[in-house]
Amino acid sequence: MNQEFDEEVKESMKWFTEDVEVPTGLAAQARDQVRRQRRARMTWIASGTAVAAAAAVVIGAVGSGGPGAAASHHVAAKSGTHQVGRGLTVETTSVVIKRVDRALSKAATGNPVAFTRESSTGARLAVLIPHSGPVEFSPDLIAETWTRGALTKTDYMTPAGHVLFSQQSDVSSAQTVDTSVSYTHRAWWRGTYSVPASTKPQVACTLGETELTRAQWTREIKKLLSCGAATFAGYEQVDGVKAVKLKLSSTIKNACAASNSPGKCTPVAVGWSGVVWANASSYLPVRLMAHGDKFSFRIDFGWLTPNAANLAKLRPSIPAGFRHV
Amino acid sequence: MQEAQDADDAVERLLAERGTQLMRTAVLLAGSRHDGEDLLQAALERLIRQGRRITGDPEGYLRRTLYNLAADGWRRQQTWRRKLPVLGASTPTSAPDLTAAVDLRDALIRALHQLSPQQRATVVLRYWEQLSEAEAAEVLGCSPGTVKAAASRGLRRMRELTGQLTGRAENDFELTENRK
Repeated sequence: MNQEFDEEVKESMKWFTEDVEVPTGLAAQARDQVRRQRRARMTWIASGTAVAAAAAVVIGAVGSGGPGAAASHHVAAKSGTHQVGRGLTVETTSVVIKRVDRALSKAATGNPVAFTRESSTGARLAVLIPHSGPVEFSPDLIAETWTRGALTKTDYMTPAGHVLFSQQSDVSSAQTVDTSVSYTHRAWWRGTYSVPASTKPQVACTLGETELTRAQWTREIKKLLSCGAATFAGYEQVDGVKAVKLKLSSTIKNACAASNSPGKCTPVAVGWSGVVWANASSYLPVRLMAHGDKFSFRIDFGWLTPNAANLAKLRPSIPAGFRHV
Repeated sequence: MQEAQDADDAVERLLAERGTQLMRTAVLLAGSRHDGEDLLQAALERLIRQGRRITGDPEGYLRRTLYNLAADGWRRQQTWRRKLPVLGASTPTSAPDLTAAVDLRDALIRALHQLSPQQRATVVLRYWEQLSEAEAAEVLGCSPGTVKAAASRGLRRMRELTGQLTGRAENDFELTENRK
């Protein structure tokens, strides 16, 4: 009887898998995913045993990829995680607002240049420079981002305003073209790669998806209110604008303890809370402040006239004398 | 660039030669073709990321990764702890026919996917891959004793669940706990 059960188990497995074949293109998909993960990555990182989060960007190419394979930060990175140092990593899709600036200007011609200025505590910028390996910039950087349509550029700078790293992304074609400039290393590189597949529309009652058009963002605010994820907390003046104050709380799921060996992940939920001030008329965000355990950030939103000066902010600027790596 | 191309070629060769077996293992571990595909891709990504750092047999690394991802509860929320519908005991037929045999296999597979990730990985290693306890322990990075215990508990649980699902008395099967 023992043997009979053993045989039944074996035969069941064989029966269950007898017409299973490895799908074509699986290796290519895996390679694409790895390449995306090696590129732009916005993660929340917590150091030590506590959930101490910090924003980080992991950029570039490693290994044998030459300049053509080099890549850089891509604000549309959708999934996956990247561990930097010790601590805890969270899925990029859960990072709250970093991409909202880009999303806000996706509408048709005539839209303003979306501008955000983000300051944070506990933030780190990690860059993988082609042929050089990872470099971590000083913590608590300020990120200024200009976005309009398919173009996005972000300057990472010290609180004193000294730009350390800049990255421009162009997703106007089937390929994403990123141009990265490290002022610290006086070097620049460019990478081209496939645009990650779009994700499903956000339907959960949370501010998880922020890559939205202006109209979508307005609806998102309303959704958060109606589903209970946001609570109305009155009206306030923010930089001279009458704004609705909304309190938010949410959880970043699927955090992995980076102290685990590669490949292992103990899911951890990281709670955060914040406040969004939205224009009382348009419901477009004016400011967002959020904090979790040992991390915080603030994003100020601006809407710039698409004149020549502001449009120039969307283009990469490579100083003379910088070497191409 | 040439090294990267060589690595890509090596992965393609590995899949061409061993892909079907690996895919079938992944399907058993994951519970469905779709999830198995994702699981195998996840393991391939690890392999590609490791690249030149892998010394020795890439297939061995890939298989170990596959099992360890499974045992670690990869996608545990979506896959590993999926609950079986409780069908209740049906009236056993006096003369099992081919339909009953299919029902039993189906029940066994569903019971397999009710096991804990480690138990399932162990059962697949022992009964699908037909590895010894020592070999399975090496793949999973644990002791042979752990493999033995996990396989034993896994089979016992499968027997219980199969009995529930088919109405077949548990003692229709005697469990093999000391399989060499």
